[in-house]
Amino acid sequence: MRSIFEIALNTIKETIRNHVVYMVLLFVVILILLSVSFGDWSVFARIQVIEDFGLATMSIAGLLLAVFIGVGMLGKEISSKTLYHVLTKPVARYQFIAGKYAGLLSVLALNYAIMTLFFMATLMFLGGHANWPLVSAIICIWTEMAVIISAALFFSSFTSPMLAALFSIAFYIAGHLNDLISINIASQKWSGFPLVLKTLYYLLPNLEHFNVRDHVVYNMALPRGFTEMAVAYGCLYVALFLIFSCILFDKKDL
Amino acid sequence: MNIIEFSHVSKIYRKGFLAKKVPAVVDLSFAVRQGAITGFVGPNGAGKTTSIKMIMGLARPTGGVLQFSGRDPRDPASRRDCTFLPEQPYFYQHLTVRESLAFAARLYGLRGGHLAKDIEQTLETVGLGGNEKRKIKDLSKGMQQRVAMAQALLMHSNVLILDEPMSGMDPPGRNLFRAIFLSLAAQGRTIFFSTHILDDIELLCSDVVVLSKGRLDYQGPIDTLVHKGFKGHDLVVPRLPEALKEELRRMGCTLEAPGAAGDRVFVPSGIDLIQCQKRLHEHGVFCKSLTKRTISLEDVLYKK
Repeated sequence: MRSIFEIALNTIKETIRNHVVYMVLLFVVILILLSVSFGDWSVFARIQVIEDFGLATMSIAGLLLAVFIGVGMLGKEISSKTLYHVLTKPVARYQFIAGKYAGLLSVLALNYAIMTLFFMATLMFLGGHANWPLVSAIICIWTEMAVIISAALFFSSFTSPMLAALFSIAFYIAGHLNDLISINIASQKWSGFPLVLKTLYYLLPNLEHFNVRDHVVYNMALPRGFTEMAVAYGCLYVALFLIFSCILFDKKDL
Repeated sequence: MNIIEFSHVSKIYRKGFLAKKVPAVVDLSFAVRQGAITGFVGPNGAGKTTSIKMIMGLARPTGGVLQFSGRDPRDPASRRDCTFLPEQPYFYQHLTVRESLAFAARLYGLRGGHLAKDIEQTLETVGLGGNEKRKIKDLSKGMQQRVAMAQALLMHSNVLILDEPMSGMDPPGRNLFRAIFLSLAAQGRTIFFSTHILDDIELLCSDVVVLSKGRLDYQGPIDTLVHKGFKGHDLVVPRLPEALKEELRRMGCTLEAPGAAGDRVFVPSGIDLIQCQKRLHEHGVFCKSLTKRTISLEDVLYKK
């Protein structure tokens, strides 16, 4: 466990010293500020626009951070061989993967905490208020980000950083279009295809589960226990991706 | 006791779209004794780095059995008492020298208030005193090699595995490393290092393992290998009568083109030099000079 902690600490130092994190944070801050003026152009109330836009921006930020940092993290270690510095010590490969993920997640959670504080401060300054759907939406976005990063780490454990980035983006898109697969299943003529689609539907995580922006914007109540189930659902996929990452990474010749 | 044991180990890589088999190491069997300085030599592409990677658990053998400190190298516990110095120092560039050494120490389970002091003292030993706060990326390759050696000294590991540790070092650096190796060996540590610098092999090693095209060429004491380079003795003698020349030829000697000083007699290794000299003395002939004829270690290792 101590090795995982030390590797996580080293990853935190490395990520904090990476300018991409600050660029994405700045990007989100600028967009949230811009969204204040968008509200004036919209038929909806300004607060609703800021809430919708802000949450969408934070979701996209998670994808950008996963692609720019998460994907490169393992790939960069393999190509520059800095992982020799760790794996030639009494450290197991699964500890390395767990440590990298924990470190990355910690920095990005901090990043999201700053984004959330700024977002909340902007809302409250303009007369909005924090309510449970808003907090729940942010928790769901954090969980979605954790899933995307674990997927990015999984892809980078067996392929190049470029391909891992493409797979991560495709994963994000497919995850958000997952509901369309179930709609398509009934309409397929070829009998084998619904089986393929069904397999895909159950294999891919449904990232739309983490999207509760509509509930926030239209002030709708969330079902009881929804947030907890979403977090558990996300944790399950994170665990699966990490386990598969460890299995693939363990077999890899470095 | 053997620290490293290769038993019919093979490593075959698969390259390209058609997964073509590329053998890097073939049926390799050798052992490294505890407490010895063992050199690991061979031409480029002989399989040295692949073998070292397998010892450190970075690659998995395709066949055979490999034991490191009595365990499978994939077991992290096999590296508990070992430090590895790769050919290129692969440090995290964002860390300072102190942070890098502290990180390595903590991965070995070393911690405590004395760690900072130990790091300072170790850096002094390798000639990098005062550089604790410098970023690794600001150091030259030679300086990074010294940081890598500092890491090895800090852990007090009993086994050191090094892949061309002196490549990129300046002469004072190489002398420092040699002195450190000899000091560690005197303490009973096991050192296994690959190198192309044959002077280091002759100066430092008690044993040597030679690879060629992925296979074992030689394993054993360095003295035996050096002795392989010994060809015989060259004698310079006054002009010899033909009868004596014939006698020397019958004994197995070779008469070479005469020089200004006299006739030159080559006594190959395996022929009794004392008997040859006795025969010469019986005819009143005494050697003007007697020298050993050897081929260099480089020729022994790399020229067949």
